[in-house]
Amino acid sequence: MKVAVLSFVVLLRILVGFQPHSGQDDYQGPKGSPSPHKYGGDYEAQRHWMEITYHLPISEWYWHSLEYWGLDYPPLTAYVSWACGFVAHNVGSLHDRTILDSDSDDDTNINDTDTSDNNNVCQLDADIECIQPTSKKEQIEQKRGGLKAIKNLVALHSSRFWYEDALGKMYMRFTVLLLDIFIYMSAVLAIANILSGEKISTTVQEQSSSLPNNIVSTSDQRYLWLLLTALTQPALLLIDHGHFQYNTTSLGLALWSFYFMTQSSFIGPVIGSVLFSLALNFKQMELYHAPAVFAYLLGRCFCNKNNTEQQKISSIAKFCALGVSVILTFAVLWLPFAIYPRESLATTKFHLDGIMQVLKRLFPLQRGLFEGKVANIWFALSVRPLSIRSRVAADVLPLAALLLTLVMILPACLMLYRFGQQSFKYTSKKNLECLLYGSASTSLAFFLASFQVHEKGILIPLAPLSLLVLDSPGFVIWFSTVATWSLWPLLVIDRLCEAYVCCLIIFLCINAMASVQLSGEVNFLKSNLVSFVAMLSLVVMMCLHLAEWRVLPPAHLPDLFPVLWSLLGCGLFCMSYVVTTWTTMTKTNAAKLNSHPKQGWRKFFFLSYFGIVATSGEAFSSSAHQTMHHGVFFCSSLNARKESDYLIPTSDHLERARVLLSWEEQSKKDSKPVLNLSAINSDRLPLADGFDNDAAATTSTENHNTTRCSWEDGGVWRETEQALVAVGILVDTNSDDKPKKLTREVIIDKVPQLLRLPTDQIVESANFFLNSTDEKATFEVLLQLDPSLLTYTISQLDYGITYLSNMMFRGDRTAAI
Amino acid sequence: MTNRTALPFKAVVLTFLILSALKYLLIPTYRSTDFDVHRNWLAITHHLQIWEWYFDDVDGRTVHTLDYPPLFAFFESFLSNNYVTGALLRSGWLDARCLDLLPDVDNEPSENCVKFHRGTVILSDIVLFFGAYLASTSMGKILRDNNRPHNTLLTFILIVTNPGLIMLDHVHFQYNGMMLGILLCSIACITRGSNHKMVDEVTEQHGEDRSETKSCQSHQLWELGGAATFAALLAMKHLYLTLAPLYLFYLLRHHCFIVKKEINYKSYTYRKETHQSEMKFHFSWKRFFILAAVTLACFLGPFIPFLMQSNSIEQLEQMLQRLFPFGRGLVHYYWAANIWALYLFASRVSTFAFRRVPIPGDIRSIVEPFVPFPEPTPGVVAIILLIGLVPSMIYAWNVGTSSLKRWWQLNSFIPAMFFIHGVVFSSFSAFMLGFHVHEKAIMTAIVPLTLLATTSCYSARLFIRTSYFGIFALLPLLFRTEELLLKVALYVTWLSGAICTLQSVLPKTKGNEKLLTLFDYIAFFILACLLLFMEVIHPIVFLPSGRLEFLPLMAVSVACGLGLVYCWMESSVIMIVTATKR
Repeated sequence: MKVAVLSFVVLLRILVGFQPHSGQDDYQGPKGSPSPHKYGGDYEAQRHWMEITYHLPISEWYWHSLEYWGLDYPPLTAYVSWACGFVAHNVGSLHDRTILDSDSDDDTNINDTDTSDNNNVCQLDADIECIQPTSKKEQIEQKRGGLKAIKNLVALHSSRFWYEDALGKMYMRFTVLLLDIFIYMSAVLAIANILSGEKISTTVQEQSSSLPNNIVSTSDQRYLWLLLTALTQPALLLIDHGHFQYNTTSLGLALWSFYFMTQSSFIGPVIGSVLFSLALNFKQMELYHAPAVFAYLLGRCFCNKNNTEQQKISSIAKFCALGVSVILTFAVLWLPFAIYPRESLATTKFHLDGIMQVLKRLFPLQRGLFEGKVANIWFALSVRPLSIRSRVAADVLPLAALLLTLVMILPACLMLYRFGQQSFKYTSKKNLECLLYGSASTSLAFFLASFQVHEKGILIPLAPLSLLVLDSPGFVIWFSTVATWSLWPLLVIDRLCEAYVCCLIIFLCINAMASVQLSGEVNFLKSNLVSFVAMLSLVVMMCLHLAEWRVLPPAHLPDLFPVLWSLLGCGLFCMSYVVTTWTTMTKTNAAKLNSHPKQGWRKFFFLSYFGIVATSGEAFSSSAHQTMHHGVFFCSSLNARKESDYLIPTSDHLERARVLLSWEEQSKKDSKPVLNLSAINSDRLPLADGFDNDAAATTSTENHNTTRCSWEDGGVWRETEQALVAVGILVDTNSDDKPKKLTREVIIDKVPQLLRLPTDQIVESANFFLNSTDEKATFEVLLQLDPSLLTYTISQLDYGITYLSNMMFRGDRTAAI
Repeated sequence: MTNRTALPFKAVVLTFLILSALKYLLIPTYRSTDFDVHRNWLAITHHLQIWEWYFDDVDGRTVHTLDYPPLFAFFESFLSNNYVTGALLRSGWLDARCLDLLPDVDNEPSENCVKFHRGTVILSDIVLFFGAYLASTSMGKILRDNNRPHNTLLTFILIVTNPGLIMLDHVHFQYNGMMLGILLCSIACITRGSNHKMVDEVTEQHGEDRSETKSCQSHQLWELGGAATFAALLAMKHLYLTLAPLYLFYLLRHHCFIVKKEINYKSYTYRKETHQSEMKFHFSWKRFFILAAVTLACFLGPFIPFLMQSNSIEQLEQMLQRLFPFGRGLVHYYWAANIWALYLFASRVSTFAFRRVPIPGDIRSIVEPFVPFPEPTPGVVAIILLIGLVPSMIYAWNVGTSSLKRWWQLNSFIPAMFFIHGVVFSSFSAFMLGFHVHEKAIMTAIVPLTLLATTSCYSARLFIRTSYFGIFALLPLLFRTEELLLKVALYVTWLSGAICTLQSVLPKTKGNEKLLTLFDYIAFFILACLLLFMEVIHPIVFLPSGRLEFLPLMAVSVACGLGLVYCWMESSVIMIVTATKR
């Protein structure tokens, strides 16, 4: 059955391969016009690289006519291109001798010289208008197998501009397919073996064996489903086999490295780090995964079983081993560029010029904040009303992007580090799941916030996520759909619209089939609300499709639809980021491992949902709103402080503000009857703990929802702040001379609940502190240390102070100071 | 038990969506001249009056003339003249040139024209889905009633995903899926008709002519429907003419005869014997006339508009000339893998041997006139074919007899199973012995055989063998290098999927019998080598020098021909066993 599934996905890839590639016949989309200096798209670039790497010496690779699709991928890509070019050239030359032998007429000889002349002319001209006239000899050759076409495919210079050939295209597609099969598919197979193992409870088995029409045996079903979902990812299919790129190669290498890293013996991580550096050297975009990998490996090096001296030494040894393996891999790959200098510069034996050139080509900082209309935060921020690019200086932006990215990858990295330290406690399946979630989270963070992002970057979080379908099927399927959907503007340009529809249909139908077969086992989107969000987003996506198809954009907004696409995409990806980060946390958090991680996931989903649908019901405008909050907060904290005189609460704070205080939770529990008789009529048991917690969360969020307007925009806090300043607890923003005292940001950061609580209550408790005790200074310090004291009501504070010994209480705190 | 044979409608819809998407992705692939043929038929039916249809050949500038029976011509006419096509033409999406009469030298269709035309094939496959649904559910119902194993869902999926059909219809371009869908409908009707419980206790006790009860009438209706559908199919494509004898004999015996019991038997123990001895068959003229009327109406109906013309005789002559072009030679260009291919191969080999091997002079003079072997004339081939069909006719008659005697009730004998095996055998014979047979004719055997694939290990094995030989013989149809990977992937996907699922679904027998035997593994190995030779070694080594151009085709035909002859024999055995099993 595995064979059938694998050859099915291969079949699918071949079928997509029949569709046009990027820039076929120099088609640049319905609006675009062909540029005179370049031809085609990514396909032409890859083909061109094969040509130059095969025909030119290694020192020329990163220098040769850069304006025509110059090589700008890391060295491993160049080597692979060289190999492809090598095979193409030699296979293409197979017939040369036999043909010359068989027809040694004058005719062919003349033509032969003709073509070689042409080649020379082409080389002289260097480029442009080098179209070889199809000679009679070529026609003969085309009749006879046409292998020559493959050789022509990589002929230096002469293959530029308008070289289109069905056989050549087939060859190129074949190289992608081959790499895909041997690297990506094998990695998915290996990981699927781990992820789908065990975990089949007997009841489930009984259930599904009684299901109708079990074609596939039960134990296989989960495994096959995982394979199918991971390997029919429409986005990957369309970009690699339709648009034409080699993403699966780098992603496959990365997945292999994940597979090895999570093995229990330490040789695994070493192999894994070598593989990961290979992946990095195939495509620099793999950097998106790097923080997660780094954090996890670091954690594994410094695992603290017992704090002995030996342990420390072994930690350092492990760290060195990893470092050495990474450095060695890099060195091997990069050394040729240093050893073989360009002829013009061949003065010294060894210099870094070649390497500098490669680096320059890899990270073109001058290209701008983002490419095209990508669905990330920076694009959302540069839409008309915000237009961040005109307000902020261009040289600050990369720094801002870097900072935001760092902030966003931090939680996942921390979690992975801590998890890596304890990784020996868990099975490699657990390890793998955490690593996959973590890397998805960091790569989404990169995609959303980093500099110079391309639409295709979404493939990088997609690859690890697509392997997690058994863990959270609803989310993974939803995310795959959204990712594919976000690539639509790109696919329109490539004339892959029909392939897009077909691939999506196939993907979704296969998953629906799986749900038919596995209905006893997996519940898609258990909660109504979550499924409502997912459905809503899907409906909005469909509506956008319909609108783009039927409605002409107004004349002054020609790019309306692509922009809407990116905004909605950005919102949805932000949600996905939140979900993946949260799942990483729950997965890695040992304390919560045994309780229901999915429940937390769901709860968090509610919360983030309400945070996102903050002001308006319509999804995409609200997501724009949310990102606006993000952006404004960020700008204000960076250098545009004067712009926002009042603090606008960020969504992060809003979320945290919603988390119930311990006493609130307590009182809620108290107010709830032990045996909820009113719940008898509903179909669940009143004492089922999980459900009740869930219900509490729901009701609380609903409560917040009703009172949202009063505090979410910061109105309540504004009053509170003024009051606190008046009392003297808080420092005024304008007078920033007293570092000792509390500032606004600090207090909000520490106790976001203050945003929510009524002003009166806070002022009352503040006054209680200031008035009721004699040692005012002590309390000020106390407050600075723990501003959360302000959140308690007076009666609680009174109770606490009288209950505890006054001296003990104060003594403790002062000692701490 | 009810669950095992249920076919959830959701699964049908999802399969249809997935497959349609796959087929849509196949649009840019290779299309044969059959595409131009069908496009020309669209043009003919779009522009010309009905009496010109069979005469037009664009002033002799095209060879793509209408050579299917009239109902298919009406189908094309429907495709070219319906509302949707008109709307597409008006909106400019479909260019008018797509439906124009074009000479062969200049008939390159536009992109949208290809999409439109391929789209009609994808949509017409709904008939296949319907037929497969009907046939597999009715087969499942019968077998379930008799406590036989059958997996309806798998049967359905194996039929609709058949790679042979996908390659023929959606790459090569034809409407085989639709035709086979109709054939499956007809089989389904006959199947349902055979499942009647003609006599229950009450009627038995009263004896006499009480067999015309309600359930009995419904079974008659089903059989009439089956016959009518088959007649309509014949009016669409005359390839299925070879199944007509089977239908004729089966229905004559099973449908047109009724049993009369003259003596009430006394005791239950002697029931069986009394049954057999006292039963008499009466030919019911009423049933016969109804059957004949319905069948002829369906078959001849499409001919009537042509016969209504002033030159009716001329029309008919022209039509027959188009339908049966005997001038084309014994075998098709590709050498369909049948007896005649083996015959020609033997002829070539003997010619070669005759030239090279030293043979004594007197023997040489005797053998001389037979080398190369004489080529049989169409008449001889027709007679041989008829002989090949005789077993199915005989057993159809016998089965009719035994099912009338209701042995099946006592021995769990199922006439429908025999009928399907008869269809398979007849199509096999037609494929093996027919004149100028096309490779695709093997699909007529494979698709009905799928219906029985899940019933026993033996038929599953026969099904798998027939499929891998038959479909392999179709691979050379897609000869371009671009489609090489496509066809291999299709073939491997389906075959491995079919083998795995059949293996897991088959009833557990004693000894845990495996689906594949050593024979199959050897066959796989040979086929793999052949494929490698045909697609990789041959083009690189031999093609540039132009030597041995047809070697791969011949090798494939001979290998598959041998395999299929074996399957043919097996199918005859299995047919006879089903017909005579007690």
